[in-house]
Amino acid sequence: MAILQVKNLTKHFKNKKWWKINSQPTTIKAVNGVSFTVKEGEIVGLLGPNGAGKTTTTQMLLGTLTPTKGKILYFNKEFDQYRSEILSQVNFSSAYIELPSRMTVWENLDVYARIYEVKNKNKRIERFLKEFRVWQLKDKKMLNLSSGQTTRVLLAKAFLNHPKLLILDEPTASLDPEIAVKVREFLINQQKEYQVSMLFTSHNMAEVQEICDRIIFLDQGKIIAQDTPLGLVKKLKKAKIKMIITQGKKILEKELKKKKISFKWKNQEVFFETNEKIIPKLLYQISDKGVRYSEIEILKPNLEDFFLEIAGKDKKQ
Amino acid sequence: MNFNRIKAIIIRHLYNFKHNLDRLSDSFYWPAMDIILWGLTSQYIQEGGGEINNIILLLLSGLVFWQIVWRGQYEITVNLLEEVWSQNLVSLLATPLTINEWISSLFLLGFLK
Repeated sequence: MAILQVKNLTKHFKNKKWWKINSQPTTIKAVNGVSFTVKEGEIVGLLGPNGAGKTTTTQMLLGTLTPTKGKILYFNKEFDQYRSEILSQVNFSSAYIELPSRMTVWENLDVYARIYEVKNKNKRIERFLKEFRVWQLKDKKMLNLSSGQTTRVLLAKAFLNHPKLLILDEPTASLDPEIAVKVREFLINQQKEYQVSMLFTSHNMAEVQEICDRIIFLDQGKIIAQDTPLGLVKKLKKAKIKMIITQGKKILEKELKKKKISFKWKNQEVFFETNEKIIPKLLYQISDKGVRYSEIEILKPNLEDFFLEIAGKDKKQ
Repeated sequence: MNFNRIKAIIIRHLYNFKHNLDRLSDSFYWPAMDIILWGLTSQYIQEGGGEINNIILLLLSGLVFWQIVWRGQYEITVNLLEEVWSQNLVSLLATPLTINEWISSLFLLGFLK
């Protein structure tokens, strides 16, 4: 069952200087015809370089921005018509939002639990504050918390209403590695136990690769790739090679230049990147010409490489 | 309209009073000053007697009732700014709370004050 269906979602911002009466407004296409679905119990990553349209998309999904065009359906119901009913089953957390700073942690969560009409709210608040290891801070004002502690309180808020869909905008940013691991484990457990679906944005590629079932790659407001983390990585045919050369440095350089492969030296170590398919042939050729190496490491591409490839193309354009 | 959500927003601002002397004085000091000032003025005019005085008294009563309308508008404006300052507006708008419920709760809060 599809928890979320997004059809042709578009957001254009018009920019017109009021004092230039005859000028035509310039249109910024922040999100341009994006369509995707999130199934029950699925964790979907929304990735892309800065300005790709991730935040604008999540804001439209939360109803804080009105789309220029397109449809958003949660649980097969139109978001426009059933806003309150839908948002009572959805929640979100972001590393870039805050809660009223002069209120305590408990007071803030109490207010949100009341808004979501959570049953046994005190027990539920206690459970999640303990889960995210901020129980001891319950009587502290938000302004006295570190950014990592604030992030954990916001995560506790996100789970208060038994959400069927969670929208998480860099939920582990500013968390120390130990807590970040715990949070990731917790998210995966929630997915398995309660079939909670998640839409996840993050710049931590290893994290995305670890927890997402599927990744949607946005660039300049459009979806440019959509696949499993492994599927996306497989689209890259390049591999990184590191070799420790014991003999034939000059010959190797000559061969790499001939094949137009750029390389870098660090003492006896050489680093270069090339198409996966030609590696066996290349190794045979250089060995044949007298190049000897004591160690070789072939690094398969990962999600970060895919991201860099996309970001690189973006810069060239 | 959901009363529980209206109540939640009122509680959110009552929690705020606990920690802010400025919000507390804003809620009790100025309304008290209004009541004392206009109350004493009304009483003074009433004791003076006469038909013109009754018209002034009527105007003063209208002024006191106008305070209720003004308070409602003031609460909405100040509390909207408060949510913006505390970066809580996005979190609030992403909940089932509707704009009507939010405005009603603030109007009610202003009326209570």
